[in-house]
Amino acid sequence: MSDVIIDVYNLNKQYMKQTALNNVSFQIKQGMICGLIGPNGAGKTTIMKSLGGLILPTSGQINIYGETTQEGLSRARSRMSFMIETPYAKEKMSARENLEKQRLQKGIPDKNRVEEVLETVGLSDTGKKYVKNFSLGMRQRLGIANALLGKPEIMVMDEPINGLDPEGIVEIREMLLKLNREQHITIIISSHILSELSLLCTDYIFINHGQILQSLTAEELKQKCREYYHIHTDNDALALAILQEQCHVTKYDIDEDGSIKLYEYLEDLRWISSTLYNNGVIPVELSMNKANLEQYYMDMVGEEYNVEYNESIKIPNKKR
Amino acid sequence: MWNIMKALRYQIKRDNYSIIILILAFLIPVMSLLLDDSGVELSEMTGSMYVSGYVGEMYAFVLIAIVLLTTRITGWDYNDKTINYEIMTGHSKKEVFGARAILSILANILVYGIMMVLPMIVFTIMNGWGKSLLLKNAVIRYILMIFPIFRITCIFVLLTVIVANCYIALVIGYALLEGTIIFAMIMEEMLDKTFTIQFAATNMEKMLSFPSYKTQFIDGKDVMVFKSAVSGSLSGGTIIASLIFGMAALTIGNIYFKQHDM
Repeated sequence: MSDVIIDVYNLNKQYMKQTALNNVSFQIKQGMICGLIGPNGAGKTTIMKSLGGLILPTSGQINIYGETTQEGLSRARSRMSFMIETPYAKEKMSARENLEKQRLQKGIPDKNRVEEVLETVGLSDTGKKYVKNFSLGMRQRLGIANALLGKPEIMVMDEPINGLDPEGIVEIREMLLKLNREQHITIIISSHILSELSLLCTDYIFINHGQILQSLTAEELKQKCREYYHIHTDNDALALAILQEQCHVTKYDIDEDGSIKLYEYLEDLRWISSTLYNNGVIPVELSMNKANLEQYYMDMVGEEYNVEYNESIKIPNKKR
Repeated sequence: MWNIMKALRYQIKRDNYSIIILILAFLIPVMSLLLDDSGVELSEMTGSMYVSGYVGEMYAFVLIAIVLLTTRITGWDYNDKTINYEIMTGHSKKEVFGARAILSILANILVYGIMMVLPMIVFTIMNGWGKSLLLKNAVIRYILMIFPIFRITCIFVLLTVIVANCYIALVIGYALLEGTIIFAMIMEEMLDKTFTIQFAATNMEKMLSFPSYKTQFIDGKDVMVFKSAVSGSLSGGTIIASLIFGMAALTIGNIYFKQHDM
């Protein structure tokens, strides 16, 4: 496809006996804001480092703007910017000096560019203050300023909002959305603050143990995360038959344990439960759920999760 | 690569550590002259007297400066990972490595110039060249000195790239340097023979030491005239060994850097 600008195919990275990436394949299209989601050690940073040329894959192919060779990828990287791990900076230099060094290194002729990006991230008043005296949030801003310095077409950002205060998080989110909207910058971003990612991303890649679990668009995620009744009874098969026959339900899923996810009649919980009850089916659990990105992620990586978003209605077992 | 060198130069100019080394490189010859008790009046010292009498003692300081500067220029950006930005910007690893190697070589030649060449020029301007050494031979020796500086710099660039930490590289590097000097001295002692170990740091000392001299009466004064001609084995061995070892270190360093994850 012509609008695919990054194509990663069967990427593997092995450290001694440990597999960091296992046949990772994905595509990034122009204009995407793609969230890389996974627990610590899942392989997110390894993917980003591979894109940045910091680590050499054991096997597989990375294609950026049609370039696949080492030299070609280096050329392609000049159109990208990266912020990986904690922002790297010289501790005994000011923000301005750090950025000026990067300006020289990137070969940016415009000397005013440093001031512009400092202004953009709100660090223009830091003067000669050494980076070693910066808060984590200020360091993050410096990292973002550095990423913006070269006017990139693709930004790869690892935990860019980590350590920012709520106001800062909103500012950075708005800034990234603006860059994406107005300058069509493609963004690959990872964060543990999934609620933030859900406000940003157009696409998601879920990763765990070095493998891609799922890639989906925000629209697809929205579909998967829509509201539903979770119905678990003493006889789920009979319950489904009753719902189909008497309530004419058509929009539902069956869970692995046989329980039912009902996507319609969401306003009629009482009617659904009484229909089942009147037909001799005892509901064990009848709850209304609205999954969000966090919940979806936790379900996917298979960890225990306290479903605080679940407005659960527990119906006790009725003694026959 | 030019852009990386410009950025590194910008960084070095703001690095107190590097600036202190350069200031010390200037102060050490000055201090050694001021503290000298050989009875030579500074106001009468000629360029050739300085070269024959003082430069040989200065090599140890040049070596230390080389270790300090090379590990700093090559390895500082490893410590805070800012070197990663250069790769992520799209510079090839060859350029990232090459820029550090070239800048280290240039910086070390600069330090060599400050510590050894500058005082000679100053005394020559003040009191003339003098009769202690033939100017031609001194110039040849000074030029030859660049080769072991190149070799040692390349070896420390390699070491720093492997260790990936400027401070650890500094400690290991200094130990290695002293090791080669002690090894060369032991070998000479054991074999009861003065020979030039081209790959040892003592090679530099031999290049600027003038053990053979005679006293001549010139222009109404007794003048120590040193045997300053460089032997073919010393010059040839120095050039060949330095180029081979230097290039080998750079090649290995480049390959290692290319294949190593950051």
